[in-house]
Amino acid sequence: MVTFEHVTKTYQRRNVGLEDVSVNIEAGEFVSIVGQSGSGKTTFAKLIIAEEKADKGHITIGGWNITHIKHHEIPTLRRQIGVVFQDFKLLPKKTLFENVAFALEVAGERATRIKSVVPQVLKIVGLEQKMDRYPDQVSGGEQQRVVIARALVHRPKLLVADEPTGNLDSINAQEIIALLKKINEFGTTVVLVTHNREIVNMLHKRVITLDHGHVIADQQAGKYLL
Amino acid sequence: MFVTLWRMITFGFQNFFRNIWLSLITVLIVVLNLFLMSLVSGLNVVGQQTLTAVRQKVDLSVYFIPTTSEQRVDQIRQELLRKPEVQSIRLITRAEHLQELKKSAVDKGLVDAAIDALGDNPLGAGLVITSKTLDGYGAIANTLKDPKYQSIIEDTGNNFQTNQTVISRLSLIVNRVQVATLWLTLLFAVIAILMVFNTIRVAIYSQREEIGIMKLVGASDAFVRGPFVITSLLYGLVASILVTAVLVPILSLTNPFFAQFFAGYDINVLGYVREHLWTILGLEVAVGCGLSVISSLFAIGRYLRV
Ligand SMILES: Nc1ncnc2c1ncn2[C@@H]1O[C@H](COP(=O)(O)OP(=O)(O)OP(=O)(O)O)[C@@H](O)[C@H]1O
Ligand SMILES: [Mg+2]
Repeated sequence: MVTFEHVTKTYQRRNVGLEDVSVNIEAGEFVSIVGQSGSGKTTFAKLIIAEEKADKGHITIGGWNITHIKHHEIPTLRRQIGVVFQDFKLLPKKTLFENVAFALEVAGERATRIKSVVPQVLKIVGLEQKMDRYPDQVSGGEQQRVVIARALVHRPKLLVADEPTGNLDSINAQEIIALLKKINEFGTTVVLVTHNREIVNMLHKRVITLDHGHVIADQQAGKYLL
Repeated sequence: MFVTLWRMITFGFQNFFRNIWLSLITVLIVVLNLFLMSLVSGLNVVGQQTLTAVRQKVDLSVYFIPTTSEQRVDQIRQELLRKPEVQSIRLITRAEHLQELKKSAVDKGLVDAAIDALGDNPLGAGLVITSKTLDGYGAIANTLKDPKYQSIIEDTGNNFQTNQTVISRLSLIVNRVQVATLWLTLLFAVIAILMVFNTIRVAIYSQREEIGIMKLVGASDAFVRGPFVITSLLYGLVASILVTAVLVPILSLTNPFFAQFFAGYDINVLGYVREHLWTILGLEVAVGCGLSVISSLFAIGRYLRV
C-alpha cells in the first residue's frame, strides 16, 4: 500500500526531514510511526499525501508512483487517503454534520450522496446522535472522532493519522485508538504517528522507529523503544 | 461538474455575506470609483462631441462683387468642387444674400429704406464652402487668393479666421482634458483594484482553516480559488449596476443645465445615455467586473498558495 525506496527529504537550510528511508507497508496493516520530536514522523506522513515532495528516492501509494506527482493530480490522491492532521481541526462555525459534509462538498459530491454518507460515517465513530451540535458543544475526544469521520468520507483504503491523540487524556486516547483499530479491521490500512508509549505498547502492531530522519527499528508486534 | 460550479457560486456568495460590512464598503468604494470613471469618460465624450459639433458649424463664405454674374459664380463653384479638400459648396444668389441680410438685420426698416434708396440689390452672389477637414480651409482660402478670383471677390468675409483659432484652442483644451481624464480614470481604477484586492486578501486570511481542510481532503485548485473570484465578480456586478442606476437620475437632474450650455448644438447628454443605456450598463459591468476579477486574481496569486 505504501512503499518508500531510499527516500530523502531535506528542508531549507539543510534541515534533514528524512534520510534514505525504505519502508514497505502492506494493505491492511496497522503501523505505528514513533520517534522523538524532530525525528521526521510528520515528514513521513506529509510525503504520503504529497504535501511535501521527496528529493531522492521513490514513493508509491497503492501502486501509484507519486514521486513526481503533478500538481493537478494531488486532489485525486488525497481523495483516496483519509488524513488526520494536528493542524486541521474542525470548523467551529459548522455543526458536526456540516464539518463532515464539507469534505464531500468540496470534492463535488452530490447532495443526496452527502446526506446518506455523512450519517453513516458519524455512526462509525459513534456520534450520529450529536451531529447537529457545534464542535464547542462536544468533548475533545468527540471532536477528534469527528475529525476521523471526516477522514473516512471518501472510504479511503489508507488512513494517515498524525498524533490523533495529541491533546487527549488517556481514556479518550484509548477510545480513539480503539476506533482506529475498528477502522483497520474493516480493511483500511492505518498509519499512526504517535508519541504515546502506552498506546504503542498496548497495540501489539508493527512499529517503525525513526531517529534523526533514519529508520532505526522496524518490528512486527513491536514496542516503544526509546 | 455542475454541482461543483454551483457550490463555488454558493461559497462565493457566502464570502460576500459572511463579512457583509466589508463587502458593502468594498462595493461602495467600487461604485464611487466607477462613478468617477464614468463621469470623467462622459466629460471626455462631451468634449469630443462639442468639438465635432463646432467643427460642423464652420464654413467659409465668399461674396463676389455685384457685377459678377451668377453663371460665373456657379462656374467657380464647379472649379472649386474639384479640389480634394472641398466637401460641399452652396451657392447663394444675390436675392438670397439680400434675404439673409434682412433676416439678420436688427432694424428691418433700415435695410428696406437703404435698398429703396439705392434702387437695386447692392449685394453680390456668394459661395458657402465646407471643407472635409479643418486644415482644408487654409488651402481653400489660398486658392481663392488666386488673382483670377481675387479680382471679383468682394469679401472673403466672415469669421473663418476667428473660428479657426477658437477651434484650435478648443481642441487643445479637449486634448488636455483627454489626457487628464485618462490619468484620472487610471487612478480611480487603481483605487478600486486596491480595495477589492484587500477585501479578497482579508477573506482568504479569515478562511485559512477552511482552505487548509479543503486541500487536505482533496478539493481541486479551481474549487479552492473559484469562490473568491465569484465573490469579486459579485462586488463588480453589484457596483456596476448601482452606478448605472444612479447615473440616469443624476443626468436627468442636471440635463437642463447641459441643454442650456449646448443650446444650438446637436448635443443631448441625457438622450444619448437613454439611447445607449444597455451599452453603458454593459460597459459598466465589463469594467466593474473586470477590475474586481483582476484584483481578486492578484490577491489569490499572492495569498492563496495551492
Ligand atoms: N517546513 C520545514 N522547514 C524546515 N524544516 C522543517 C520543516 N518541517 C520540518 N522540518 C524539520 O525536519 C525535521 C523533521 O520534522 P518533523 O516535523 O517530521 O518531525 P516530527 O517527528 O513530526 O516531530 P514532532 O514529534 O515534534 O511532531 C525537524 O528537524 C524539523 O525541524
Ligand atoms: Mg510531527
